[in-house]
Amino acid sequence: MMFTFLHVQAQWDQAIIQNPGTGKILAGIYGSADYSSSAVTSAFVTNFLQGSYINDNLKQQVVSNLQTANRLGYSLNYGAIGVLYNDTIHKKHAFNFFVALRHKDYVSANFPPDVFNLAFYGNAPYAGQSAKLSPFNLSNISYQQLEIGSLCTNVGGKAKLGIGLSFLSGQQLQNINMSNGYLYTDPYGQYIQLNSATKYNSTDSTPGHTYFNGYGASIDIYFSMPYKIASKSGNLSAGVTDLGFIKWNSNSLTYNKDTTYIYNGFTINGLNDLQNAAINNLSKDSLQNKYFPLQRKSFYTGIPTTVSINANTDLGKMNLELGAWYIFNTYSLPYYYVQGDKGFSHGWFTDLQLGYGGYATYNASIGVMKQIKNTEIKLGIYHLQGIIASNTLGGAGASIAILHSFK
Amino acid sequence: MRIHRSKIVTVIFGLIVSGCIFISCHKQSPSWDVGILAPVVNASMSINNIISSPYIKNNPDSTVSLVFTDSLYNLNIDTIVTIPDTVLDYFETSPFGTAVSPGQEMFYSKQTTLYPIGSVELTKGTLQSGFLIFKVYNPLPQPIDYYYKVLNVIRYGTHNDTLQVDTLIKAGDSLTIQKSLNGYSVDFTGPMHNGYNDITTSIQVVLDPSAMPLNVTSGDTLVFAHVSFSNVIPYYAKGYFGTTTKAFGPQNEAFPIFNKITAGTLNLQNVSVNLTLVNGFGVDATLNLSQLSSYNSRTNTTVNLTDAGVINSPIHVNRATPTNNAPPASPVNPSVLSFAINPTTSPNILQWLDNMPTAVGYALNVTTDPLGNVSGSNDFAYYGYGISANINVNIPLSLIANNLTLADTLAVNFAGSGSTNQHVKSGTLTIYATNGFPFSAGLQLYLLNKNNAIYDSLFIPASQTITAGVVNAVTGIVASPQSSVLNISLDAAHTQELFNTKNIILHARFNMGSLPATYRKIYDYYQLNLKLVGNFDYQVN
Repeated sequence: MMFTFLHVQAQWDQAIIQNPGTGKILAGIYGSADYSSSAVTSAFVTNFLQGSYINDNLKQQVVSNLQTANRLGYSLNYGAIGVLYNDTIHKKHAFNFFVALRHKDYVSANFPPDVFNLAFYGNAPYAGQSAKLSPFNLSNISYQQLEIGSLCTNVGGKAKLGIGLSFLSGQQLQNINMSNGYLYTDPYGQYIQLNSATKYNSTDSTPGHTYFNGYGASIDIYFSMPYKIASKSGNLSAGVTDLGFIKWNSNSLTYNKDTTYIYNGFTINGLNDLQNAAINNLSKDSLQNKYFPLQRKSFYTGIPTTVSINANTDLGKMNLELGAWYIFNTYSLPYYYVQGDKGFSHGWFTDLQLGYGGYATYNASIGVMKQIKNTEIKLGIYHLQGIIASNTLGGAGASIAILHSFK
Repeated sequence: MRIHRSKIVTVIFGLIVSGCIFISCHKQSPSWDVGILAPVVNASMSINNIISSPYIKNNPDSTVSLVFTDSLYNLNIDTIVTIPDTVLDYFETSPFGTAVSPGQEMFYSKQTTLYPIGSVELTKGTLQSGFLIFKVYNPLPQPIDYYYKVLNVIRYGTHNDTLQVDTLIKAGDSLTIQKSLNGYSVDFTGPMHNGYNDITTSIQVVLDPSAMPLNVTSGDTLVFAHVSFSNVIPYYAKGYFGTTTKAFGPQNEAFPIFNKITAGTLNLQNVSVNLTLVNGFGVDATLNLSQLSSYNSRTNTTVNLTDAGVINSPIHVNRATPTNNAPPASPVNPSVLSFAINPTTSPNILQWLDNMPTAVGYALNVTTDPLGNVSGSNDFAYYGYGISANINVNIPLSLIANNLTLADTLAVNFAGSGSTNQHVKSGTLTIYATNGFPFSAGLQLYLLNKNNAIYDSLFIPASQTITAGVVNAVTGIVASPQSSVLNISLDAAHTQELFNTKNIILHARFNMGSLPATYRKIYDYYQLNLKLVGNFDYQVN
């Protein structure tokens, strides 16, 4: 059976499910970084991450993509895994046991066009107009995960059922949910009015609160069963990954208010007060404290949870996969894909996937795997459309895994 | 070949992992330009906020006045009773040879001396400072004891303490002892209590009881002492202070009301100046104020006050009377004389103030006891209660201003706290003003460097002024505030300078319309509403 290795974040790790047959124990490391957006181009994001100057050309390329609602997502996932294959219990059931240590980082957002325009062009173009800021949602969560689990490889014959339990260490969180928001700029700039119904949660970002800000737990579940259609055998699998929560500590910050703010500038009582009127402080803490007072308290959040389904049919010379996944607690669309897997001589395997959904629209990804004795090296390149047409489309990603089996 | 491929894969993996780490750890912030249109500062300012002067006073009828009170001159006790430093020397030799036993007196003298205080005849006094300095030398081969007393200088208390110095001087040694005179009372009337300026002292020299018997030969020095009274200042003095005349001035006293005015002219409708003479001495006095001038250092113009009732007209001020109160209550009831100086009594008082003085000059003579010892030597004086002249100026703000320019140095911090990044690149500052005052205002900003020297200006064209409010012709009160818009363009260089500066000079040029000029009153409810709006190219990072 050919197996997939694209979109590792959406599936159970294949190393747990499928014994490569080269050893009793497998150990490996992996990493993936993935960005995609329906509007924000790869070139824009590359410059942003590099800390470069974002010029008008880069901004305009994004503006031409903006729709009524726009999506953006980023994930970083890396870690190490160890699997013990085919332990039997009462000489009846065969189990794979595994342990994994992971770091996961998700950024997810949806936003109307005015949010981008306001952020990157300012409010001056909106003189005399209202900028529509809602619905605007942004979530940025990072955590570490220690997971142990097992997978029974012969449930009722050839079905597989696996479960993993994780302890989570919450690192950082920023959540913004603006259900209603308008920013009106007076034609002459004499006042700015913000109508906002916003929830905000975040961890304390001050020094000393960088790494451990909460804890939680999650569960992974996997089930697969073989099938046969028109003499073609296949395997149907479904899984839930990272169904869980994190309780953030009492230093965390929250804000929840539906209100209207009018900013008239810094009020002075006389000319001698001019020394308190700093033009540069328009967006600084003083305004934030005045208009968005934050409370410190503990709270729970769900972590991004992936539900996936996949049908992998052996066509003889290649495998055909049809599948879908959806990540709850993010702002992506369900992702649907069709994928072809083909093996070549000398231990080479390739995947080609075409899909629709997620944070982007249409996607294309390729994967390459090389088997060298007891070692597998997997390489995936995602969102080819955003890599090839980086000034027009948004998306880029890569994953790599090195797995080694021991006798 | 397989090994070669493994190396390639390892290198690729390494590069990708490094790239991921680089991206996730990269701390440099991106930057981009945005256009910010936002209010920066808003203010509703009354005249108190605009001029920011401690001399502004709101009157019950809502009019506003400038009020300034200051002391022109102040004569204290030391100007009429001066106690000079005085020296008393004691030097005695033995007229014959003799043997002196331990504890035996070798010399004793008591004498009354006239203290040299000039024409002042003191009978009593209390000292608040000064020193008795006792210097002594012992040329003999044995230690001797000195007992020095000033018998008419006593500090009264639980134990009355006569001023005295008792000390032992070793053989061949010298010694200096300094004793404070603070709190001592002096009876200057002498042993018979009918004199003045007298001090009575005694000095006794004894061979110290621990000394060896001493053979004194003729001509040996027995007494070698030098006593001085230094820096003596009385708290209280009584007697006859004498007829003396002292001149003060011409000299200037600061007059800060108009300090911020740098140009233009001012016409005041009315003014009230009150000159108050206070005599806290128990001495009759005659004052002759020969000059009271208004001096403008900016224009170097002096206007002398002409007033027949005050200037060059001897003014007799009666003596104060004692209250016998102990400090801190006032020990005297001063004698007070007030003179109102206004356009009726002094024809040029308005010009005197329209000159916008930065200093007031004066010259005067003070004659004490002009009629001689009419008190029977009961003149008195207390420290801190002398003769003073106080000037109180009350200027109702009903005026005509013509290009009247106020300059004020203001601390600013446009860059914000701790900001090293100058985010605002260029733009326009727009002042939206609604003026409820009856004068127009033109503005100019000058930027100061670290040495408080002007190095650039933010120029607002003269055509851009804050328009005066429209005045009701009947009531003279502003009936309709007027709106104005002033623009200040900031290019990149000016923006940088604006953020670097910590102090600016604001020039505000006020005008009250065209001729015929009409006096306009300023009311405390007049408001100038300002809103400073920035339209900036702002770099986010």
